[in-house]
This record gives sequence, C-alpha cells and structure tokens, in this order.
Amino acid sequence: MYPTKGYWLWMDNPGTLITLNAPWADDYQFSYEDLSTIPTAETAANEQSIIAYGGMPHTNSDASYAYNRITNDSIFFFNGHGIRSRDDGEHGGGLSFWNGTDKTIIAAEHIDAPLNTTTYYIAEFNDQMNDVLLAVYVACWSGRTSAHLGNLVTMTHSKGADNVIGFTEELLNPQSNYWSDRFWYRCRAGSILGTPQTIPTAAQSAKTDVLIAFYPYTGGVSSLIGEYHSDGGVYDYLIPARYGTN
Amino acid sequence: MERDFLFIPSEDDEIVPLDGYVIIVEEEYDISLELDPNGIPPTKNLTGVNLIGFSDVNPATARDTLYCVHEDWSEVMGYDAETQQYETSILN
Repeated sequence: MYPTKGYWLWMDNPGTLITLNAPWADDYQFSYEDLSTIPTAETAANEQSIIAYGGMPHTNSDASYAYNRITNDSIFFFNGHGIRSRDDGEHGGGLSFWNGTDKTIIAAEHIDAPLNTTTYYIAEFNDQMNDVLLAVYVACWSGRTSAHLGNLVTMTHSKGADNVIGFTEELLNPQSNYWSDRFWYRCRAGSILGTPQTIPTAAQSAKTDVLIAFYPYTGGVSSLIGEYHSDGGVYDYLIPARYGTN
Repeated sequence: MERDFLFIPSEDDEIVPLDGYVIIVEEEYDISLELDPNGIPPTKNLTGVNLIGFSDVNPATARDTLYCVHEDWSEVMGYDAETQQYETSILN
C-alpha cells in the first residue's frame, strides 16, 4: 500500500485502524452484571493517543482476543474482575474477561486446581512480552500470589514486560476506576510542572489522589504493587512513545 | 473531521492520514506531502465499507498496514489516479 493512494477497505467485523508507526496500546474495560469499568479504557486510550500511542479501547472482550494481541502491545491495560478462589482463599493470579455471555481468563501459570473456565497462561510465553513497555492490571488480587495460578505481576515481568502494576487486595469502585484515570493522566502530565511522571511515581501519586478524594476509604488501591524497569532512563516513562526494551 | 462528502479545501484544512480522499481536479497536479512529526497518531474506527488513507511515507504491505485489524478485514482495493482505474483487490 502506498502513501498517496486511497483505498476501499471492507471489514467483516468492526475494528480500529491505527497509524503504522504508533505503538499499540490495548485497553480493556467491562460491563459485568455486578460491576462496570466503563469508560476507563476510553480515558486511558485518549491519554495514550495524546502522547502518540495507538490507544484502542475494547469493551467486553474475550481473553483469547487479548492474549493473542498482548505480545504485540506496548501498553496493556485491564480494568475488571480478578480471580476469587471459592474454596481456600487463594485469590488472585488472573484476570476475568467477560464478553457479555461467557467468562474466560488470563492467568499467570497453571499450578494446580484445573479451572472449568477457558484459561490462557502468561507462563506459556517465552520472551514474547519483550515489546510490552507497561502492563497495568486493575483487578482484585492481581498482584497477589495464588497457590493455584501464581503471580500475574511477577510472571508478566519475567516474560519481558518492563513495567507491571497490580494490586494485592480486593478493589472497590469508584476508587479503582479513579486510580486508573489519575494514573494515565499522571504518566502524561502529572508533575507539578505538567510534565510526565515516571511510571512508579505516577502509580503512587494516583494512589494519593484516591486517598485525598475518598479519605479514609481507598478501596484497596493502597495495596498497589509493581515491578518496574527503574533505571532512571527513558524506559521509566511512557514518553516518548515506543515499545519495551528487550 | 466533520465534512460534507464533497468540499473545497482551504489553506487551514488538515488532511488526516487514515482518512481517504477523492480529489477531483480539472488539470494534472503534483502534490507533495507535508507531515507533522508532532501530530497525534490518529485512530480510525472501521465498520462495513471504508475509504482509508495510508499513514506513512514509505510503502508497506497490506498485511503490515492492516495488522491491527488483521482478524477483521476481508478485502482492500486501491485507486490508481494515473490510470484512473481501480487496482486488483487484495483479499485477507
């Protein structure tokens, strides 16, 4: 395809086209029966697009769709339910996707307790997550180590993602949605001068924003944890837009 | 960009990379592209039949250009202004 030509394009399904050189940013939000995280993915995508990422919000996606795209992502953002263990309190280790009909899961690894739900495991990647600059898992217990499914944050980091954020406790809305909105804003322009903050600083500052807005109820946001690149260099920031380092 | 289907552009009009344009001229012209390196990379929502443009200064395969919607597109067909004909379509 050529720069000076126009093209007719037929689509079988709706989709979002982004410029060729814009790093991918996939943002997932959900309308569950008991929780809505809409429009946090749109907010994230808008903030990312301002700083030259190809921000794409997705509503009620399957885990398979996200799992197939994540290795091409620079930014992966999930805001939805985590995994609750019904029997033994070993919550965490995964993300619960909902397409409006069926539930599917992305989890860290399969240790034991086979799930009845279709599950895709981060552990099955080799180094395919090297392109991921930032993964943000806004979900209950997304940073907790589960005896059944492992730890999503440390597993994602071990597979090549530079920066990974999760939460070790149960989250409540609206606090978690607010943390999300503030985090993306702070990555772009969160310093007192309106300049970008590092990813760890943006995460911590957004947590403080929640505390101020909802004092004394942080809704579990205070359990924020992260694995960060943190070498004082460019990969500590989202700006300039780019993929992760190998 | 909210526009009528046909319009006469002014100096201030921006041409958005992912939008496609049909330019009707009475004489032959050469048009050079001026790119804004600080421009926000656009995204374009697609459904059904769409007229799209290309977003880089270098040619790329249809596979790479449309990779972000690689499970969703079925056919793409270019228009060759020199021959004033549609090109052979590419199937996904």
